[in-house]
Amino acid sequence: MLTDEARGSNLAAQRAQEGGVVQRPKRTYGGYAMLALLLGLFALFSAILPGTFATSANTSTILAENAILGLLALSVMLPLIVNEYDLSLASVMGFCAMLAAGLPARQGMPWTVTALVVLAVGLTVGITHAVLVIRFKLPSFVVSLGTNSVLTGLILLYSNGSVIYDAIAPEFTFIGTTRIFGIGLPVYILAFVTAVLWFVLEKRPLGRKFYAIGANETAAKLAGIPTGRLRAALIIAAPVLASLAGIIIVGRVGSASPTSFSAYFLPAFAAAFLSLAGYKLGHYNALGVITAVYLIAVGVSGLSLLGAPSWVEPIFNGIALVVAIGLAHLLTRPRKTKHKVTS
Amino acid sequence: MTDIAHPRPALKLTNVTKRFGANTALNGASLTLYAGQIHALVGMNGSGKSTMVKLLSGFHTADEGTIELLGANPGVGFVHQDLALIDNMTVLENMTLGRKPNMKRGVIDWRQESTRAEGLLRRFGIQHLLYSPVGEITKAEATIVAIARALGEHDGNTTVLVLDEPTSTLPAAQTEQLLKVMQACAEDGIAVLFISHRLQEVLSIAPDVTVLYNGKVVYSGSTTGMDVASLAARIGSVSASSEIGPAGTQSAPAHGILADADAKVILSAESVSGLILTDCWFNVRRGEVLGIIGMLGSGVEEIGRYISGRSAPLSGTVRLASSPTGRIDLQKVGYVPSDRARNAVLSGLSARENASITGLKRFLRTGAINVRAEREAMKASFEAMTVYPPDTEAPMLSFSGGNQQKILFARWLHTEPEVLVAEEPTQGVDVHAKAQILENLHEYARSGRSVVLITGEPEEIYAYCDRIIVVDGGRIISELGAPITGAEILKAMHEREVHVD
Repeated sequence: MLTDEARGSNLAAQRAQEGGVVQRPKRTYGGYAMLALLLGLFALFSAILPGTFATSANTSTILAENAILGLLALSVMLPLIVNEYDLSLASVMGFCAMLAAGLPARQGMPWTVTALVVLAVGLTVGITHAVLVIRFKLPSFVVSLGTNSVLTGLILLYSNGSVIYDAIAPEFTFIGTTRIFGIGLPVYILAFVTAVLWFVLEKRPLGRKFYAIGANETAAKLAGIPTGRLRAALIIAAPVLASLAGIIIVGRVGSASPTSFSAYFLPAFAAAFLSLAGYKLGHYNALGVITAVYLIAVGVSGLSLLGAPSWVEPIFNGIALVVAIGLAHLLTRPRKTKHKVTS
Repeated sequence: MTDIAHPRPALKLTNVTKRFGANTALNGASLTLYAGQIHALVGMNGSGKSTMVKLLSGFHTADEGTIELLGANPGVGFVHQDLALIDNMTVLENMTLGRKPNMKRGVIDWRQESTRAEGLLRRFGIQHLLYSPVGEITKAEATIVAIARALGEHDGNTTVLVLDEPTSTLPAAQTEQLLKVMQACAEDGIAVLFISHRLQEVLSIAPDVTVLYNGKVVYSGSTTGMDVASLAARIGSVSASSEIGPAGTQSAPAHGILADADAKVILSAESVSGLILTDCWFNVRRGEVLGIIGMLGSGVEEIGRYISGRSAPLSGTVRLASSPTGRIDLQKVGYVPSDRARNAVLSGLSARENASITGLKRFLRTGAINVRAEREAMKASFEAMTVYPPDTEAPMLSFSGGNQQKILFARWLHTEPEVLVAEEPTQGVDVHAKAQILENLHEYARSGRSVVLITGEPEEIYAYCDRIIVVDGGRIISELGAPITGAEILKAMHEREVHVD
């Protein structure tokens, strides 16, 4: 027999719930913590170093120099959304940069053909990964670790271990060095790519489906989502985006060095993981990646202008990576659920 | 050890209250477990059963009230629903997990460990499984292993055993075995707290029952003289029409019989064979609720993914009449699979995102998803399914099991598929949510669509079916047409059991 009291309190609870019309989602601001941290750090260094850090020249340098890292970090993020890893992306960017610098200089290729070849290289790596991971069900972590090593070898093979710096296609240099309103063209490219990814991931059904696969691939598949095709799409898109970054880095630096690209690996992953702690909490997202890239960049730039020696940078990046994953864990810790088995 | 006349209390909860923010999960609940007795704990999803288990395990601490463990050297053992066993390890290895094993010269002393484990298993007559991988023994045996492991904790001084829905995923034939083990535990003087949604089992095994409603104890006492209907009535306030005891004779008329047996066929299975399933032929007609029943291992668990087009049968064809090629459009055949957590829930996403994923196109405005339109549509869908609370933005995992299941039905109903295939539609769902879900599905079929319910527990669903197909040994062995009675179902089930033996 149900007591009247129990019935009454249940009715009251139900009424309280039914009171509102359409419930507004509760606004939380935890998603903006990273942006606040970026602005705060910028303000801090500006206050300490008004003469060197807080100059428009330094700001635009930070923006432009990290636009390439931003593109690479976005490419790292794409497969992560569906729980796939691509550890080869820094090497894809490196190999593509060697080709973008070398093909016009050594093989006399026009820049258009060069650009197509470079993007085709990215596409080839992507399709190889997709076939091995989706068709043959191999783990992407291991597959891309292998590709990474192969590409490192190809970089050495093609470059013969030396830097390619002469006869860089002027069209690439144009992309790397043109400024609009004092800001380098790569920054606009990054902004464009970010905007496109944000729109697709946040506003299109396709993006929802990617996140659904990331949440539970089996469930997504049973809900009628073509999970294999969509995972393949992201696995292929990542190295293509990385190859684009390869062209831009040649244009910006004006050369391609066979050893410099591995330095991009860690910060790109750090930024991709940090995106879990920004905006769309617990989910990889494009705006989060970009905010994270510049958070790390401002930190590194400020520290180096303060006179920190060069070994500080990798240590800073390493700590940022671990803090990123810790922060993401903290911010997205599941709320107390009623029916979760505790074992 | 057991003294029936003067039972000795083993665990006493007195006026226990637990709040989570504004929500009171347990409200002054009192409960006493006696040594050597099985005490059942029942209640709807969200009534506070899980909170009580978590208080007993020390995962939560009570805000008010006391929890006393009585006796000279007391200890509480737990068996959770997912058992926490590792499939590719042997029974012995699993029995060694979670405690400090006996060591000899720095390595695990397996000789001593196996003697110990064997002793624990022998009580339940499954010592021969010691070296079998858990993945290769039956679900009931695995549950018994988990019980033996729980009894071995506290150096064998476990006085209270808490079993959190141990039978909810067991096939009928295996349930008996587990109930016997529970009785053996009681005979050894252990106080057993048995949490279950299966009221028939509760009544058959537990002399005492505590009913939780909305965090309060609304009944605590003997089960003598109770039947399923009266117990169900205590669990909630509504009548117990959703769960009819095997002796019940209620038939479909309450829900209206689909008279037109020549109704248009909208999906057909032609000579479908799978791993167990062999040469199955059947049709799904417009406007009907078709039940497909069979025990675990009969092949019934394969049918859902074949007829929903989620995987291809090894041979044979499934044809969707409306499709010119017969190929199944996954949007036109909805599928609510069994094992919600693994196969259906998109964890980490909101309830809205979980439900709308099947039909996002209609929320597109100038190329972008309009979240407001989406939210309003999902809210309407949730209300139609009586999801409580109808909060579309809450994380999926914050809902209770029954409400998660309702959201998963909402996921398909808002896209209006021609056929909705649901496996174990009421698994882990409380009595009242069950009735609401089945009522909604019945209504959906009557609107000119079709619903296929596939289950190993026909007593849950038969009253809502127009037709029932019985599967055994991979084949369709009989078909029951309306009116379907409890007696018929009982007979069909009985035949199956005889057949299997």
